[in-house]
Amino acid sequence: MNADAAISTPLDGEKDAPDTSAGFWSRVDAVLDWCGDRLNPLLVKETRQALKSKQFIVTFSLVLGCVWFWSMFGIAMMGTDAFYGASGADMFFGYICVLAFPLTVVVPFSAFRSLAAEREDRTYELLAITTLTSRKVIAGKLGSAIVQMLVYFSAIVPCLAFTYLLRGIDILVIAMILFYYFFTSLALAMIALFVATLTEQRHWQIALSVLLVAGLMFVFFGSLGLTTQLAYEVWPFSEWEFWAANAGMLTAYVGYFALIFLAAAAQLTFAAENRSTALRCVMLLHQMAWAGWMFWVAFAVAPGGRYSPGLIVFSLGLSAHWFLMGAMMAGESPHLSPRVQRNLPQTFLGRMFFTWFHPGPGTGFGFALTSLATGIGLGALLLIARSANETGNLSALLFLDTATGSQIDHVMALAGSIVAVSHVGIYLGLGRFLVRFVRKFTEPSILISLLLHVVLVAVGTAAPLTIQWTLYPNDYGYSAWQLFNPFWTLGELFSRWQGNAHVPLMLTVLPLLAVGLTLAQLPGLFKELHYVRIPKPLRVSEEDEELHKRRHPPPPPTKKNPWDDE
Amino acid sequence: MPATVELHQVTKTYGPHVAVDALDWTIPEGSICGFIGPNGSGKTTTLRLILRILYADRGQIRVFGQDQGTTADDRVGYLPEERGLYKKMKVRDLLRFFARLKGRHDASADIAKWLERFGLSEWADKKVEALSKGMSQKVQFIAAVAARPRLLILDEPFSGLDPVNTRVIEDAVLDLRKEGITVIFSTHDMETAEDLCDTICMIYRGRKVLDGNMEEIGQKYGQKIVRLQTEASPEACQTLPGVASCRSQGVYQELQLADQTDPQALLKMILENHAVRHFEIVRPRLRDIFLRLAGPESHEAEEITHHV
Repeated sequence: MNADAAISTPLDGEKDAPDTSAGFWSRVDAVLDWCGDRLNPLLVKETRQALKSKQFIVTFSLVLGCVWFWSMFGIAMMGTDAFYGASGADMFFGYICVLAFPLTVVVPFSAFRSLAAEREDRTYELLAITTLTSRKVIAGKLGSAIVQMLVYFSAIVPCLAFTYLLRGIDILVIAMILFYYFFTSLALAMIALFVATLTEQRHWQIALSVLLVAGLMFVFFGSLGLTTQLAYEVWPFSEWEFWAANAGMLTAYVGYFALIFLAAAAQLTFAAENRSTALRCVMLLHQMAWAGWMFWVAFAVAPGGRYSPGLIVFSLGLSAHWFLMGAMMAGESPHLSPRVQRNLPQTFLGRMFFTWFHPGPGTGFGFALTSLATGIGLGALLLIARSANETGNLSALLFLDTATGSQIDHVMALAGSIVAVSHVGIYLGLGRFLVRFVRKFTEPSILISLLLHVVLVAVGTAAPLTIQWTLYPNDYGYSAWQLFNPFWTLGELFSRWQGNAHVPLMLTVLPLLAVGLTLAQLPGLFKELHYVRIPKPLRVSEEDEELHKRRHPPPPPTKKNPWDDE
Repeated sequence: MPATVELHQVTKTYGPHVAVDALDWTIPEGSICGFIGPNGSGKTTTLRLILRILYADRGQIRVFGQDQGTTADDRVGYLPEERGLYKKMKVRDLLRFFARLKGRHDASADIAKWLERFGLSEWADKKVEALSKGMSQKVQFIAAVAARPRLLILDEPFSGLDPVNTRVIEDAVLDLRKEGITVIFSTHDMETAEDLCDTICMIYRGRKVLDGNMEEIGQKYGQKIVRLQTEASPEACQTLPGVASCRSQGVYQELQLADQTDPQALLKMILENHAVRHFEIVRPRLRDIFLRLAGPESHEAEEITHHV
C-alpha cells in the first residue's frame, strides 16, 4: 500500500451518485451498482450467489421442465374439454405440485444452509465485526430467500393465469392459494434460519438439518393435501367470518414471525448486548393482540354462544406458548453486561414495571408465568362478564350456581386453566433448577435449555406411566400417579369433570406445588433484581456523540438567495 | 502515546477452565504488538475478547477508548486463525464485499494494489476455491486491510506460509505501521515476533508473564547469560562465584549467572587469573525466554503469575 494513502474513515468513502455519462448499458450497470451499494450488502451478495448456484439452476430448470411437461400433458389429456369443460382446478393442482417443492423445501433449506455455512466456514465472525448487525444478517438471508421465491413464482404465474382461462377455478382462489404459499414459504425460511443459529457444532447442525428436512417434507406433503381441498372448494369470500379468520391467522403469523426473527438475530448477537428485551416486548404485543381478538370474538361475533370451549382452547394454547417461551428464556445468562446495565430503568415505577423485560432466566420465569396468568385471568374475566351479560344473573360472576349446565362448563374451563398454568409453573420451575445445575459445568444455549425442558416434560409424562403400569399392570385408568402428566391430567379433567375424585387433588396439589416452586425461584430472581443502572462513562458518551455526528452530518446550508455564496 | 487497546483485569472462563485470567494489557497507538504464548494459553480468546466476538466475565476492554461499543467495528481489521472465505465467490468480488461491510464503497483501487503487491492480480477473477492455501491466506490478509482499518488484529498470520510469503506479509505489516495503523498479531514464530514487533506480550495459562519492548525484556532477562572465551577450563568456570551453570559451546563457554551476580564484577574476577579473549553479555533470544517461561521444565512463569 502506498504510504501516501491517507487513512480515511470508512464513512468518508461513500460512493456518490451513479455516473450517467457512459453508454446505455454502462449507465444501467452503474445505476444498479449504485442501488446495490445502498441495499443490504449481504442481500446483494447472497442473491447473486444463490441465483448463480448450481442448486438454483438445476431446481429452476426442473421447475420449468415440469411445468412445460404438465402443460403439454394436461392439454393432451383435456382434449376438447379445454374449450367446453372446466379443467382449470386440475391443471392448477398440477402446477402447484411443481411450485410447492421449491417453495416449501428448497428455498427454506437453502436459507438454512446459507447461514449454517457461515458458521461452519467461520465467515460469520468476519461479518460479526462489521457494521452489519445481526438483524441485517438475518434480513439479508431472508431477503435472498424472498427473491428466490419470487423467481419461482414468476416462472409459474403465466401458467396459473392459463388455468383461470380454462375455467373451474376462480382468480381469487388462485391468488389466495399463492398468498398462502408465499407466506408459508417465508415462515419456513425464517424457521430454517432460526434453526441454523441454534448451534455451531457440526454434529448438532447435521442432526438439526435432518430434522429440518423431515419437517419441510412433512409441510410439503401437507400443503399438497390442503391444496387438493382448497382448489376444488367454493370459498366463502363474501362472508366476513372468512376474512376475520384470515386476519386472525395473519395476526398470529406476524407475531410469531417477529418473534422468530428477533430470536434468530439474538442468537447471532454478542452476549454483551441486550438480546432479550425486544423479544419480550414482541411477546407482550403478541399476547395483547390475541387478547384483543378474544374480546372481539366474545363481544362482537358470538353473542349467545358457548364460551367455555373458547377459554379452554385459549388457555391450553397460551400455556403451550408460554412454556416454550419460558423454556427458552431460562437459557439466558443471569449476568448483565455493563452495556445492558447502563440502560436499566432507575425510577421506582420503572423498575417495578420494566424489570421483567431485562434479560435473565429469573426475570424470564417471572415474565412467562405473569403473562400466562394475566392472559388466562383476562380470558376468565371475559367468560364471567359475557355470561353475566347474557343471563343478567350476577351469580355467574361469582360462579355460585354450579348446578346448571353452562355454569359447570365455565367452572370446568376455569379449573382446566388453573391446572394448565400450574403445570407450566411446575415444569418451568423444575427446568430452571435443571438449567442452573447444568450452568455449573457449561453455559447452556437456548437450544439446550429448551431440550432440557422438553426432556423434563417427557420424563414427567413417561415416568408415572411406567411406575403405574409396573405396580398395577392391569390398571389403565387415571390415578394420582399421573398428576404430573399434563396431557392425561387435562384430558381426564375435561372428559370426566363431574364426580371425578381426582379433580380436588388436581386443584390443590398442582397449584400448591407450582406456587412452592415459584417461591423457590425468588432467591435467584432477587439476585437479578439487584442490578441497577450504572452510569455511562464520559468517554463513551463523547465517542457516541462523535459517531452520531459522523453518521448524521448536518445538511449543507441551503442557498436562500443569490448572494449566499459570497 | 495514546492507547488503541486497553485491557483491565479481563477474565474469561469456560466452565471451570480459566482461559484468560485478570489480564492487564495496553497497546500503544501505531505500534506492532506481538502476542505470544504456548498453545491453549488464551491468545485467541483474548483477541476475540478485544473484537467482542466473546464477552469477558470480568474486567474492562477499551478499543479506541470505548468499552464494548459497536463503533470500533468499522475501524478494526481481523485475520482469524481459522480462515473463513466464501469459496464460491470471485476473489475481487469477495474483497469488495468485505470492504463494503466495513463501510468502504470505493476500495477497488486499494484492492487492485494489494492484489498486485501479493502477485494475485491474475487470480482476481477466479473463484476462491481455486486458490492454494498460501494464496487464500494472502487474500484473507487483503480482506482484513482493504477497508483501511486503524487497528489490525492478525491471529497466526504466518502459519502455513513459506518464507517468501512470510516476508511479503511482514513487509506489508511494517508498511501499515508507517501509516499509523496499530497491529496486534499472535504467533508462534519467535524470530518474526522479535524482528517485527515494538512490544511483546506473552501469556501463559491465561496470565500475562511478559510485557514490554524487546529492550526492556532484554534487560530483564539478558544479564543472566555471559558468553566467554578464555583459557580457563569449563570446570574452572563452573566454580566461579556467582555462576549457576556453565555450558561449553565450541570455543565459548556459556555461563548462566545467579540472580545477584554482576557481570562486570565477574569479568574483573576472571581477568585476575586468566586472559579473556571474548566476553559478551548475551541478550537472550525471544525463543529462549519463551522456553524458559513456558518450557516443559520451567516453573518460572508460574512463579511470575503467582506474584502477579
